[in-house]
Amino acid sequence: MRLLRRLVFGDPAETRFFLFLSAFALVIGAIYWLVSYEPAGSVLLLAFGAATGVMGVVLHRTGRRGADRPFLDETGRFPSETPAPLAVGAGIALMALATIFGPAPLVVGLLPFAWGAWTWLGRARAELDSQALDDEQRG
Amino acid sequence: MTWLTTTDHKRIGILYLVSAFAFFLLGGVIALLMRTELAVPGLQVTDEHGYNQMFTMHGTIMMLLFATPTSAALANFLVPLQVGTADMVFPRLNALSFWLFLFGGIIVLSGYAAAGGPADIGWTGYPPNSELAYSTTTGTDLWIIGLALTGVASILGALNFTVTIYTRRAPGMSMLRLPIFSWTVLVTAILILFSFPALTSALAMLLLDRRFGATFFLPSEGGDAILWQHLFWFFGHPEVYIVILPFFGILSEVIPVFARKPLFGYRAFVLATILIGVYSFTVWAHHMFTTGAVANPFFSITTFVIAVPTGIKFFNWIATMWRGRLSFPTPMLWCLGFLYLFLFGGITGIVLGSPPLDYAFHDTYFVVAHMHNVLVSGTVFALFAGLYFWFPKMAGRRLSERLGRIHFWSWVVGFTLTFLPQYQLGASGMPRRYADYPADAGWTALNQLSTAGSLLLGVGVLVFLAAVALALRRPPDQPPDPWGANSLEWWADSPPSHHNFRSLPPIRSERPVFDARHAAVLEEGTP
Amino acid sequence: MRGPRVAAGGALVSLAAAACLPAPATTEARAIASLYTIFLAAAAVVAAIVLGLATWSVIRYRAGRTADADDPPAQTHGNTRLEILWTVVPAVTIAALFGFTLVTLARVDTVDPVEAGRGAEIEVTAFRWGWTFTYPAEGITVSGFQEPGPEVVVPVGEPITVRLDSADVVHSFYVPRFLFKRDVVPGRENIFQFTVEEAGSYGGQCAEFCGLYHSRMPFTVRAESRPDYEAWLAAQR
Repeated sequence: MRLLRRLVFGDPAETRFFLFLSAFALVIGAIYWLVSYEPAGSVLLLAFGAATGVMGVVLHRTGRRGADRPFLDETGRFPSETPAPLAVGAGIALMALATIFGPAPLVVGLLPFAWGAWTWLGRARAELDSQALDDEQRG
Repeated sequence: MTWLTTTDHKRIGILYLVSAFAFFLLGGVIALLMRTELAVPGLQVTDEHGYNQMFTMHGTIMMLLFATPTSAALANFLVPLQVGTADMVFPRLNALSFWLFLFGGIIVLSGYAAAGGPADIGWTGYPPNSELAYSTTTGTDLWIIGLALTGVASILGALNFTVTIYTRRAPGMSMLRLPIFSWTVLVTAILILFSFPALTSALAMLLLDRRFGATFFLPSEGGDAILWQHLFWFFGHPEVYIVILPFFGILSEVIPVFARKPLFGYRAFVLATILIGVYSFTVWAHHMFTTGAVANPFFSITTFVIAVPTGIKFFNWIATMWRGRLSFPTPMLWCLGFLYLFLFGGITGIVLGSPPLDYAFHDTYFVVAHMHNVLVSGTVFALFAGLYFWFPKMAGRRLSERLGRIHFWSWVVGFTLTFLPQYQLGASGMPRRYADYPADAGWTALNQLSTAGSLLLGVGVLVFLAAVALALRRPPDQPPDPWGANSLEWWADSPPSHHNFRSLPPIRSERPVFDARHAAVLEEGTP
Repeated sequence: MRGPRVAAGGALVSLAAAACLPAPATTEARAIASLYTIFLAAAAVVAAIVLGLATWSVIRYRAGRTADADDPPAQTHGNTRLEILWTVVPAVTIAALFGFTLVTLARVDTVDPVEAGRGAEIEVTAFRWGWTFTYPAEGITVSGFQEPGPEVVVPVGEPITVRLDSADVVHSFYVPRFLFKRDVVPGRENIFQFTVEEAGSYGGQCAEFCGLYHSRMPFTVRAESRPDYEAWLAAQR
């Protein structure tokens, strides 16, 4: 128990939170299985425990600590207005309708989706590049 | 036009709010039609098919196109302000979430234009009734696709909230100095992340059954009808906490301001919120007690356990008011209404959590009364508290106190008349989802009372809309902190400038604006 | 002055919400009704305490119009002893309610195979939109579609064992006077037992949404003395 506590004590709140969630879900899932032998609920609970466990373990291993960043630093890096999300959203909605109406909406939806995704990714890459440049200059 | 290309969390919040409210009005009109039908025995307004479509769409719209997006709306507007940052971590993803929600909602509603009309399977869509053999129209397929899209929207939004709250808090704001509303948003986001996939999976499986020859839920082909219920309620029960926790958060922001005291037991409140969120994953099959297919005692005890942290919150709110200096502008009135009326919803939830009692009450108007008790006098009352409270921040104007009171009172009386008699209707045997009832059942009088109440609710909404319209006609005139409030959003202008803050006060508690105000008073030497 | 009026009005209105059950007609229903009384009593106590405290605080602590209105009150952040108290007391309360629940659940849900040999055994098939009742031992079947629905007779004071199955979608067998319902699920047989204590006619309804005429598939269960029940059986053959 003390080992356990020492393992996670230094972790930030979010890591501990996910690890706690995972432990809870796995324990309850095990209890539920033993009480009921009902497969659907047991799988759901254990999967929940596994998913949160993965998140907790990854956060723990990467040792992420939230650095205090001055909030004004971010002003320049915020995405400006763009119709890309609207295009991607409309594209996805149209393409989803193909499951009911056949291939036509898939083709129609592909156009705004592709354009929007392309624009979005292009901007994101430009922002990441300029951020890397700034980090380099700051040393 | 800039509304179509915005990535600003404040604008996205307002887009969500306006859309969700439009859906609310539509869902409300459907409710009024249902109440009109039920006022008198016999079918006057519609037929059985039409009625089945009405309660399906009413439930779907209210739960998934109104309540869930409304909490996303307020969270979107407030969380970056409350944590002291300029926007969410993923602003474009934030915009995508909104558009997916809107298009999903439109697709659900497009059932009205389809042959055979919209879905008529209940908002819970149980198979085999929702399978193709029994529900033959495209409306059901559109319902499935639309809800899958809104579900993805919620998941993406939850991701954004989680990351923003964890990584963008202003210097000095530890997790235990996070404003309560943001805490509830965080827990809600976790719930969304892990419960919505169960719904999306179930919807995908149903669509595969209906259109692609699968047999997941078809017992005659080796499938299992109960499997859907497990998947749906594994989502569905966390869902009801998703639509109440942020609203508990609103109460926890408003009451301290008008009691002029801090929230009593902030840490306990945070712990209670986390526990409610976590436990909400263990109770789902209390919706399935009558199926004979689940371990009833397990789910009964887990359901009872959730009552404890919820009760703690009630005591925290009352203790906040205790020995305070209370004033009662409209936001505080809504909080009081919540405290008085939501209590019964909580209590009847315990009743329903006892399987033998549930055998009597399940699928009757007792459950309808309970769910509206917690959703209307809970979620919606808290929503109005929040809207009246934050309207100056969002729009730079204050809503009329006079109209606010009229709105409030019409809703207190309207809610009471509409829903409290439904407990009796259910106890005496009236089932839910019934288009009509026999004239000799003895249910007519209570149904008429309920319908009369619903008209008052409609009137109240019109008063609210009038108040908003009148307020928006005046020029903005509100200072940053018109109420004398506590958290960081009240440091920014009303409405906030594009990147929210030019400066921040020191953050040493969960009430940085309160602290700053009192430091200023002390400095000036004014007693 | 608004606040206290809300408080008083709310307190009055709140008392009206308690719901009355129909008179229980079976042994199991009486157990359920007793359990409900216990829950109602607990609910009344909880409501009285919570609403009493809320009302008192609203009336007693509203800001006056005196000069002290500008001073903030004592900024109490919490009180650990109080918080423990209002965690433990509710926990104990619900533990007790859960205990009562388990006792009642045992009484209601038990299906005794020995008892199943006595009284009557009925197989119920629900379908869109009606019911078929089969008495396998007596070799009779009663069926009905929509209104008025089939009427079946059972002997008073004897255990009745019911087996539920569905021909199509999920339905639910619900008799309000029995304070009881059980879902009828395709692919799954649900079994329950009950003993009617009072002769009479008890209306039943479908209680799980099953499509178009969900609201129009009633049935009736009539409990008669053993001789009258036998006579009815004979008439059905």
